[in-house]
Amino acid sequence: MANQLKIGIFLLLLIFTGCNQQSDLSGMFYSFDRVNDRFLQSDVWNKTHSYKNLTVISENYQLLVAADNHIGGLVNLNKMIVEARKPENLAMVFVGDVVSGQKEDYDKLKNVLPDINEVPYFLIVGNHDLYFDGWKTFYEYFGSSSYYFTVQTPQNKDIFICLDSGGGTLGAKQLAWLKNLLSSELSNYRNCIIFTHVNFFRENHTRSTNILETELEVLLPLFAKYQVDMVIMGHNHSRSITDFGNTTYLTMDALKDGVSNASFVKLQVSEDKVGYTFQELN
Amino acid sequence: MTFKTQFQFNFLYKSILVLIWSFFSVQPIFSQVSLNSYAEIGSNAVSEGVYGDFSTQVEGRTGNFSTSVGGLLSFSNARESVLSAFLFTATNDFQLKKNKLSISGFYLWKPLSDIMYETNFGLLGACRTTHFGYKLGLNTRFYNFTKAAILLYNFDETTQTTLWEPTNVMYKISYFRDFSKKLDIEAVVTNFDHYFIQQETNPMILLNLGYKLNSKLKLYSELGYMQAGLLNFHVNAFGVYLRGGMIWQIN
Repeated sequence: MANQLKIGIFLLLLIFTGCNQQSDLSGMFYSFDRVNDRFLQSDVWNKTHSYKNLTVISENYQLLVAADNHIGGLVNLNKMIVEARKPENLAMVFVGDVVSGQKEDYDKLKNVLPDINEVPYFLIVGNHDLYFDGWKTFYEYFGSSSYYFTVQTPQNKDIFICLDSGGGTLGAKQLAWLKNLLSSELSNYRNCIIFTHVNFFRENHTRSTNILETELEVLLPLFAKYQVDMVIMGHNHSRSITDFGNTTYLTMDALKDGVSNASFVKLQVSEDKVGYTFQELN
Repeated sequence: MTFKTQFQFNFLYKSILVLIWSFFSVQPIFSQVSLNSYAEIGSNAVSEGVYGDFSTQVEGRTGNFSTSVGGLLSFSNARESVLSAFLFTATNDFQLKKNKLSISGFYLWKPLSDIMYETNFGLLGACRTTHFGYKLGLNTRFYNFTKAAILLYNFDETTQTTLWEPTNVMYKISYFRDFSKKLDIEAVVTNFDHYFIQQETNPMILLNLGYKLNSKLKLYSELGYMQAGLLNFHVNAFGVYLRGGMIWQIN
């Protein structure tokens, strides 16, 4: 019995090594903000606010993409915003964990982001954004977390799909929406890029939770079938790039202040490919 | 017959043949042969409604060594093929002080669609006390495009058609309780089942109720609950299943 007690204590210690003062453990085993409910709210938003279409005058353009800002600190985010204001950049995309769910951090974010008409930006929720009932603030400030936007070039159109995986799954309703979108719309677009927070693969050993294997068994063939060009994720705070078939799975570093590997991605879309470079911040 | 239906038919046909062959061929080789079959209904975030599974595993044992072969058929709106998984396991038992330690090696093959399949290899250690059972192991996982898909999408030699997840920890912690000589219960926290292995950060909870009909036949039912996320997530229910099965000691 003593050995079993020791094992139990060890497991509990293991659990709480993953926690810090910015964690909200209230949803650790059960939560109220479910992905299906969030999707329904996002769907209502999408129906009352049309999907955004950006227009560019060249076939080549560039977006800036970041993940895991974890505001608090604004140093690295400000560096990215300075870059985003340059004319060669079309928009910014934040792939979740922008804050840690606290309303004051959402306020800080809203104050620092530029005018959306000057520099368009797109956000989706990550697991940390949902802490402390954060979804309510996210929805109030930014709206949907499951949507797409398009970029119209002189001769082509590209689609960028933003998915809510902040709860560790896309959920049945969002997955059905995604399948329908890919099957009905994708033939109208030159490139398809998907953004979501939780990284798919465990290329290295981490404590971060991934999309369930059971869900990957559906998503990988789906993205292969529709020739999705790139899936961009965050969550793991450590970059990795995996090419599989015609799809590149890119997990980004964190943009968080104070980490040695902070970076964001310059996503370069051109006539023949979707490319990327990492912009180091340290 | 289309490519897809032919693909399904071939695998279904072959898998049934393999199982029948296994069933009859292992009997003379092994001193003990048992059959574990179950039917399952459930629903999860990717099943597009209710799904039904049917599994059969044949195990042969001689002395401390045992081997088993099994297959899973799935009936679901979301799946392209009925054959869902094939499993081969080899196990050797060792005596460790008063307890028995089992070491297993396994191969798990899963056709995900007509363009992709998954392969797992793993090692698993298991030991049991009166009331607790522990399994701990490692698996490595490969996703591959099928040859047909490589042709279909014109992948050249530079295209990566294999994706490798090097290591994943497998664990299973069980609590056993006998209510009588016939009735027992098992409560489990684990990240794997016969035909799937979740990442170590995605545990599931199982409750298994067993009833020994006689010395040769045991019936069981199992309720499983799977969630997405843990610890630093606000978790979401992912799926639930109910399973009914039997373990038949053939000789």
